[in-house]
Amino acid sequence: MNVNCDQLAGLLPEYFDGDLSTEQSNAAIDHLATCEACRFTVDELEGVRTLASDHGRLEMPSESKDRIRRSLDLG
Amino acid sequence: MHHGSARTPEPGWLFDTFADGVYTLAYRIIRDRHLAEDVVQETFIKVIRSLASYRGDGPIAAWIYRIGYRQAIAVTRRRREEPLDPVVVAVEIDRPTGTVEEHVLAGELASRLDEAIASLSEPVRAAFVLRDGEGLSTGEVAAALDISESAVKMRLARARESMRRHLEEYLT
Repeated sequence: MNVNCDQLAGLLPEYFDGDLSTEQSNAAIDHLATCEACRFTVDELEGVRTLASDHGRLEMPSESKDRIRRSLDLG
Repeated sequence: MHHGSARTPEPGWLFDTFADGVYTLAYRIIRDRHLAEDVVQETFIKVIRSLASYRGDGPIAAWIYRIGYRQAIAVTRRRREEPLDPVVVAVEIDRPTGTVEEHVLAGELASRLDEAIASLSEPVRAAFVLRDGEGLSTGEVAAALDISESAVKMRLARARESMRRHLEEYLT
């Protein structure tokens, strides 16, 4: 199985979730090995995921947590 | 991330595990910290009330986020009827250590990330926050938002592409 740039773009959601079949996964890797533009795209999308998980999560102020904990009788 | 269990989970543990996640989801949807805190409170009131009927047959993360998501959507619907306050941009710095320069950069990045996430349409934003921010599986996001897995994948593709354009300078 071979994929072109457009086909690879269609496989990216499953690629990132690790949900590709072995055949699709091999085809994606083969394409990425030879296509600098797609490698660049994949690297940037990977970067978006990393930014979201490393910097996108918010922390509720501890005094608010304590207040809600008390109101819910959680001690 | 699977938090499912056959036994009834302990409410205090659930709160400690999911409060920040529900807060993040609610804030991303509503963009008001106080209202997001109210959503957390309302969500856990419902979670604790319904815990006895939770049968442990699905991922508990999806169940809790689903309740939180519905609360947050209800708040935004109510707010649409009211005039909006000026939006306060969240500047979260994860760790209060490091140099002043690191603080400024972390604050700037958080602020840009905040704007980029806010620019997504609400359904796309919720899928992105739960999948890429909170680390739920595609199936869990589908359950939390009550949509199909293929719809989750479509929204994620749209979100990641838009985020990529907005945050280009931080990605290279």
